[in-house]
Amino acid sequence: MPIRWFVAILYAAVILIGFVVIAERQPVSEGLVALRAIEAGEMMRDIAPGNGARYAKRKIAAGEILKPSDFVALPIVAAPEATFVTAVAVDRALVDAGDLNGGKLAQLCAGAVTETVPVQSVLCGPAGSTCIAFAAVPVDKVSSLGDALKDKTVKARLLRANSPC
Amino acid sequence: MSSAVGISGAVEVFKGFFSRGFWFGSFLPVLIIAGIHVVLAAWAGLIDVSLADLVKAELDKLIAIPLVTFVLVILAYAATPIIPLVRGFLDGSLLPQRVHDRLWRDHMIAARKTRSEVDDATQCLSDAGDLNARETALLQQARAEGNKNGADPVQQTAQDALDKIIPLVDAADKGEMPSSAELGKQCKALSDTLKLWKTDLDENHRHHGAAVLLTSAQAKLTALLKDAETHAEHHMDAVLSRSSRIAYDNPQATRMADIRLLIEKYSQDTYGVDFDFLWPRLQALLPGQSEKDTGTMSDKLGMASAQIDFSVLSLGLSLTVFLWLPYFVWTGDPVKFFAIAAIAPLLTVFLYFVTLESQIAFGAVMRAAIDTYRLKLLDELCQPRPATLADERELWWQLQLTDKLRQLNPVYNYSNRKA
Repeated sequence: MPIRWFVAILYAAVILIGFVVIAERQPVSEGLVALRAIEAGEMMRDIAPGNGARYAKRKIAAGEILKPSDFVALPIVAAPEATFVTAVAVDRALVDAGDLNGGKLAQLCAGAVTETVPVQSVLCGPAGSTCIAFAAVPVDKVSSLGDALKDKTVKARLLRANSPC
Repeated sequence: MSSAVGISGAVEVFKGFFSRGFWFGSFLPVLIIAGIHVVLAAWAGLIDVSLADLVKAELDKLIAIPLVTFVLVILAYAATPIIPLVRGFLDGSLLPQRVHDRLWRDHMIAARKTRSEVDDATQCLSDAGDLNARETALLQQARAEGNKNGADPVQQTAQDALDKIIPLVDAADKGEMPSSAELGKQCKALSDTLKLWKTDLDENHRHHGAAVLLTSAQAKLTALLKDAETHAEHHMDAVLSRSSRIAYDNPQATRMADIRLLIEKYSQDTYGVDFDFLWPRLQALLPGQSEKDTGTMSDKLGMASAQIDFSVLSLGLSLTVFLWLPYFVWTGDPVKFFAIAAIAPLLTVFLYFVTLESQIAFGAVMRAAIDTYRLKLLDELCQPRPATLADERELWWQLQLTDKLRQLNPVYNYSNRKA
């Protein structure tokens, strides 16, 4: 390789290193930072819902910079493996208190059936109305849940985790 | 205006202490590079300089200017010894041996390619010249032979002969000069035709039209031969012009070294005298520099030398612009970092070519000095004026031989005494 090419490549490498050093030393861009961890599907109750986006699209760690693209207007309900996702009406007070939300565990009560299930997301209507929670029920509990619900006096309820039915 | 008075006044104070060469070759590069650094410092926000305020400022408020000028003069004085150092790097003599050898190898590869191009162009010109001279004469002989022994020309045959030439002329008109082989082939064919037919026929002759066609074919082909030689000559000139700064017969490590070698070869190639023998002696004969008359050879040499010093020192000092790169990395300004990364190499490359050109300009003045004063040197050495260039070369050879023998004499004396 001619020496002039060697010098040109060396210079380009030095400039690249300089640029990388500058980029590394750039201060973190100003913007919203998550003060606590946010679970995927969590409904944001404590921020202004800009252009309707109020559900976390992914799991966000505490201290991470929040980007508009991290939030969506409607909940993303995913079904974990070997689970059956079902919608259950929940008391809004539980949601407002932060006991029930996407990414949290809840106590599913339906007659004799009691099961701790992960909540995928929560959907609430206007202020004062009840909310709907999407809970992932293990598939091996679906049959007993179905049997329990055959009794018309039995209603499925979602309570705060570890709460007695 | 006021600032200009301040600078010129300050310069006036120091003017008498240094030569013109110092002001142009040392002070000016320091001033320019210092100016560039001031602009960059202002751009980086390190200093607050407003040119408008500087121009409007009262003279008594510009007390810093003589001080700055004094500092720059000191810097220029201190930087002057850098000039031979930078020149040493530029011609490769002060580079590490491995770097020098690598540069020389790279340059040799390029120089061999150039020499090959020059050889090809020379051969091409030689072939075209030979072809033109030979075939033009052969066509004329064939024409004479045809007029002597040939028959009256036939219209169709004459037309056929011309039709073979027309495409070559058309190609040449479009810039595609026919090859020597193609021209030679057509010359042979036309010669064979011309030998068979008469071409110098009276206007009233019934075959006069055919004779005119044959004459036209010969004229066009002759013109093509001449054009081919001119084309080859032009190509040769272009190749020589492009390669005039490359010592392809004895490539050096760098372009600068090549140019110096070519300059120093001039006296050897032209008059048969070594540059190292001639130049120191010749310099003693040159009329001294004058304050009023700047047209003397010494003045011209001095200015050309100062121009080299100016470009070499500017080139050396321009490298300091690269020091802004780590500064902008430290401040974390990517725009300014990339701006310096782009501008600094351009400035250095520009000054490198300025240096090469100033070396060439110095070489031209040096050649003029050799041409003008070499015979005067012979007079000073009490030698007769040679009648011819060959005599002059012989005389210089004798003088150099005498000089070498004089240098060797002590060695012989020492050996003899020992024996």
